[in-house]
Amino acid sequence: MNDIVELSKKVLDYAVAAGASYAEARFHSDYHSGVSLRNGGVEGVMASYEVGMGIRVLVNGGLGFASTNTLKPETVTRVVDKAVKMARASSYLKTSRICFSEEEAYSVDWRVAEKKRLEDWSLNSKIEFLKNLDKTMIGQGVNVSSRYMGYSESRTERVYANTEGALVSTLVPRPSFFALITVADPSKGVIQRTLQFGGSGGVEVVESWRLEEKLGVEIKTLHKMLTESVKAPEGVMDVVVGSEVAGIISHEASGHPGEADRILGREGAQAGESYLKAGDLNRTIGSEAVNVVDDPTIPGSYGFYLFDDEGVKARRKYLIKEGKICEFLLNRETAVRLGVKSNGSARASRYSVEPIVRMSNTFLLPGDHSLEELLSDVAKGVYVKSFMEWNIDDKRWNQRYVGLEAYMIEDGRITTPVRNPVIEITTEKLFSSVDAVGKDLGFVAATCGKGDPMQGMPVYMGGPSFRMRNIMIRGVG
Amino acid sequence: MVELHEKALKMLTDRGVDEAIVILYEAEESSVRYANNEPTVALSENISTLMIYSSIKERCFLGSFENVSEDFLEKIVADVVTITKNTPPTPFYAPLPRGVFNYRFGKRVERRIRQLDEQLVSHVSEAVKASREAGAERSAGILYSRHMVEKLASSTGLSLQEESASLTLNHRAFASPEATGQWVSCSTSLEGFNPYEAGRRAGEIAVASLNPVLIEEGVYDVYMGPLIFANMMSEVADFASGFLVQIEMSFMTGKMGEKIGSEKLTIRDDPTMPGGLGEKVFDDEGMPTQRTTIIENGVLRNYLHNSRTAKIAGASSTGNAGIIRPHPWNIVVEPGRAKEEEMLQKLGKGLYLTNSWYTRHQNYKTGDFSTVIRDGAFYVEDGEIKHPVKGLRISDNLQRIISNIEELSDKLYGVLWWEVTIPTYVPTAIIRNVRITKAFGY
Repeated sequence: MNDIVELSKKVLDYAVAAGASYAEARFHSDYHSGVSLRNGGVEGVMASYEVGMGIRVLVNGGLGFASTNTLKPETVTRVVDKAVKMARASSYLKTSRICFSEEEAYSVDWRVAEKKRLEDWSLNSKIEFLKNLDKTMIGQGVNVSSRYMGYSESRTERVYANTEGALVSTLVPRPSFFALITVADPSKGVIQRTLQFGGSGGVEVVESWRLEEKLGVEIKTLHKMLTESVKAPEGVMDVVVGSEVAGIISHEASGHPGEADRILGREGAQAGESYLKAGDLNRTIGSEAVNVVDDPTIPGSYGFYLFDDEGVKARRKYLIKEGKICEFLLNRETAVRLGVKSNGSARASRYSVEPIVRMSNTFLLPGDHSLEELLSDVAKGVYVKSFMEWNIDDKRWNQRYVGLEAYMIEDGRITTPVRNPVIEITTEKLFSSVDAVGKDLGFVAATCGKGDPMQGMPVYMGGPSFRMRNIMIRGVG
Repeated sequence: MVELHEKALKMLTDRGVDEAIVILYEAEESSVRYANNEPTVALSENISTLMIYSSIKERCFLGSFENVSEDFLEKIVADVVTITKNTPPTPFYAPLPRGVFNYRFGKRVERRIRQLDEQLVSHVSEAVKASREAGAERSAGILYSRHMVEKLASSTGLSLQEESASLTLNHRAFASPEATGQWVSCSTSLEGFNPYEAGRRAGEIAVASLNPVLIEEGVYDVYMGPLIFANMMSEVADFASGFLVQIEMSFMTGKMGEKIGSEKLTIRDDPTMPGGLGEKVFDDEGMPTQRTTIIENGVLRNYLHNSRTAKIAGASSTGNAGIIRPHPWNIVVEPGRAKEEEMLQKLGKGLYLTNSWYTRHQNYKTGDFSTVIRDGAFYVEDGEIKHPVKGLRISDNLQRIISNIEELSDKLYGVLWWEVTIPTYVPTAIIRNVRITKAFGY
């Protein structure tokens, strides 16, 4: 990596000489490999190697970014010229200059350790592992008419340097797994489920997922929901949601609207803006039981990092504290506009894209109730443990989650399975209806999409089970 | 001089792979993002990628490599050969297509698009100005200029090259935080690119959307503008992928020859369309692309295949590879006869929707889905817009949606943006009995 550091320094010097008031060079080397199985047969073995440098400059208050995968000094300086030229051209239309918050310039090398190295896990062992999972799925005495699954791993090495003296080197290995499952019944049709697991670390992370056990349970559950579920009740009632649903809610209704670039309009034409405005800190959005954080520093998590892609030290951020908006997710550009410091939320998915404000591991903080306690004083309601379909409007106010594994709650107990109950609700109504939060904190790995060009980013979404009082539940169709 | 992809192919075959395809992509892309009427960042990339498919005794490997200098080629090839040898045979293997293929000639490429750079900023300025003139307060968006050269060499003796260039503008205007309008201008020629018009249309929709009101949810007749109808139709056409059909992730699985849509609906994948944003001469297996009718007058006629899905289905490749997943190149919905200005009158009473996003499925095989309405949405009575509406969602079934298409207009729009990622040409459409829902708590 010494040659990369040297190249980065040359690039930064060249950018300053070309007129940049600030410059940064970010080298990425991302190696991905994977294998997929279709109904137990190997579909293919895949690999990709993305390696290159992205260079970002500020010129006359205009921001330019350019990238290349030809890492020769003469090519990289041409790329810098282009970034400077484009930044200068865009600065002519600007009424205010872009600048970055002042931050400590760290010189640091951080790496995620692998207890069992991914590269020591042979391709044949991985395929055997997947084949055993497939056997588990078809061994449940149920017609699993289609199984498509894949294991993949990535190894990301980065060197970040800027003209303020920061130099951050990074190494993160990440294994991940996905499955698309269809369970069929001759009289009831089909039910489908998509699953994703991911983390940072070595083979020990994969082992911690206990996939064999979980997939067996999933298949049985899907069959039960397909063959035994009845039409979901409709009307205003109490609802308890499971950890998976708590995770997507935290991500969509708290994480995204808390991204400062959206709040300031920078994503306006694509992922949209936010129900939050710059002056909304301390605004009440939910009950005192609601506490949502974004925390990249959780060891082993899919969204793990210790320094962001602007060289800023990562930390836990309270997005909602006791029902009040507490902090936004910030990069250096949005931080200075809001008169604060960055909280280390800038991420770039690969070398060829600019770092933008992103989530990491976003979750509802646990409370002190057991699931039994959450259910115990619900006379009539619905328990929504998992979901398939979901979406939310571009201000993050109007959202919908359609249950997959779901049951009636009657007199404090889980009873009949119900088919696809729909929670379609505004953010404020949702968070304000929460009266009790469980202690069964769990996480789901996901790939969050944002930006244009689109950047897929590994994240955790999580939370414990929680209860909402008197919300509307409807059926599908 | 032997080019990199040809060199890689020779090295692979020399080292004993049975089959190989090597494609070198040389991509140049510049873009200007803007928000609150000003550029937020100017982006450019210049990236070469080597895609390699190889097989040895039905053992298959697929990879893409961006460390494409001569120095790394030796290591790439060694890795590819080792992995291919160590992979178990795939039961889904199909030999690469062989034969005498006829490729279309005469694809026109606007090379001037490559040199726009600073001019992109002035195009953005035109769009912003047009929205302001229409009465919008502020605009956001992105303008891309793209140029790509694709060079393919295969062990089956193919040596092909194709070039493409395009300009795509996605522009959103805000008349208030709740009143927005969106429009696109997408073209493969400078003459066909009209940022001012995109800014004007987005601005007019935004202004017409001021002070939206909540309405009751229920079943409505709907008039869909080009952006939302392109969103629906690109979903539909992509579900014709033989791969998605075979893994049961498509509502078209098992329905070949059946009537799955309105008689008014004919959808094709047409990469032969001159000047199409997705115009394409050959696919990733080197097969000539072709015009394939997916749905004809409501009847499912063809899935989209590569060699692998075609073999499984007992069909022929339609020139839509992706090595693993075939996909459409350039979706075209056949226009109808109605004039666009007559469409609201034909709708009578219902909703006029201009855009949607975040389409998600509860069940891919049944087609149950929902999508969030965004930007201008209007309540219509007696063929006239009465007032803007907000907070709505289409919560329905894709097959039911395409079965209820009643009228299509006679003009096509080309759509390609963040939400519609496959080039899609659509008219506007009237769809009867669409289930509309809204959130509890408004």
